[in-house]
Amino acid sequence: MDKHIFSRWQVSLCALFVLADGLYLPLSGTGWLALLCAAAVSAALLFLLLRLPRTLLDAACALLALLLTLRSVHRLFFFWQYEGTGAALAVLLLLLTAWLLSRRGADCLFMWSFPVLVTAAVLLLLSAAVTVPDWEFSYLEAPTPLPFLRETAQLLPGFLAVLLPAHLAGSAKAPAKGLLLGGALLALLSLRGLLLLGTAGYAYPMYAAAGLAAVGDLLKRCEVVFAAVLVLCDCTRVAVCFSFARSAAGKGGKVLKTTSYE
Amino acid sequence: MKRLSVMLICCILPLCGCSAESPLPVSAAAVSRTAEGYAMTAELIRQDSLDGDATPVYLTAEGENLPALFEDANHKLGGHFYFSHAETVLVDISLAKDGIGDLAAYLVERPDARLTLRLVVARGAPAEELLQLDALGENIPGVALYELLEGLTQRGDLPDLPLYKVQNALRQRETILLPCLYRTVDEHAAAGGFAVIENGALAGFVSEEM
Repeated sequence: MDKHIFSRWQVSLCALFVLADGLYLPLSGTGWLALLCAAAVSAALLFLLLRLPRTLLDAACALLALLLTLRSVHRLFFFWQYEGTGAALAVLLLLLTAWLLSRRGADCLFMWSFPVLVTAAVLLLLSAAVTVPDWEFSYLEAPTPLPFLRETAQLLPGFLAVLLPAHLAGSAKAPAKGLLLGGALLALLSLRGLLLLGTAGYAYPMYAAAGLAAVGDLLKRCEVVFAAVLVLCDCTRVAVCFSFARSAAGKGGKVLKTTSYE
Repeated sequence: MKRLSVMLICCILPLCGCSAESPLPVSAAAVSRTAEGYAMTAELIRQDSLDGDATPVYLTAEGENLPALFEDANHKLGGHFYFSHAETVLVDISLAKDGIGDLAAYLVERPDARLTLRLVVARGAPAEELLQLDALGENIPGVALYELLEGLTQRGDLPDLPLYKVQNALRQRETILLPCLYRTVDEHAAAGGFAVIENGALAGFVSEEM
């Protein structure tokens, strides 16, 4: 049976997928600009990649699903270890949550992602907005061609991983929009981190920058909410990987056929 | 929505490290340089008294270097040195002369240190003594110190220099003015004057009039 996936759902899931990298962005003077450029280039490349033969796409996505799951688990484990919480238990919870999410199928995951993206975007924008008075614009740097190109090129593989949800959605247009939206939000987070912390070395600069946000005397641990939102995005990414694996396994190696509504 | 709620709880729970697990959060600390390395006096807040009042208790720790110093404090509290609530670190003049760069760099690397905590230099008295002086109208000296510094900063009497701004300035080799604390004649801690930090180390003091 064909599944109906509306374009706003595709945009949402792909944006969440991209935002999963938000916790691990490094700080650099031109990082935010490189993120915008890499997102734009990746969005264009996505249209080309989805024209590849289906068998090749399936194989590439299977490999992506495996690698992305391992990567998410690996980096979240170390983040939780840094944070001083039970990393192994937290990873188990994450995998269980992602598995529960994927059990309902890819279409439900797409549908679910819309309210989650709205919530995540509002929280991330609020987190950035409350730090605006402390922004120090002297940290901004003008890009120099070669290092900037290298920085942008290094970001491309991360963005091109959107191929996986785009393949699940069966279209390129809405996922490309989601990629741009996710890229823009990442660029905003990177810019906020730069304008607050400069390029000083922090283990998790985005997390550290979020910790500077305070609303009155009560909300002083905003970084916890910030990190929870980005962990949720990572969880969504793992759920997409699981969903792909389930679809592929359920259809004897072929991915679920979907119909997109633009 | 049920699934969303479960997922949100699963993701947020592991991140909520600030649980009620530790009954003794650190409110302020005084760090000094010694012949053997570093010494720290931390003010912890006891909230388990029968009358419900929070009372300060003090813990001293020593270490050859800063990680060893914090590890010693952690060891003395059985693994419950809870630094997340610390808002003020008093820098002894011995440490300020030696350089505050290592301390600032170490603190920003610690996941439990707030980047908004304030560094102040103790002038005319050891930092650990200033930390333990009775507070006016507030029974926890470290908390009173923080409120004093915040109030003065909001009034514009002190430069707004939380830890991350100090670290940025130190990395860029900028000269900074850290507020000083001194002992008043009636045995209270008060803010007055600034310590000039050049190339990470104390270069002198200036009065508030400047």
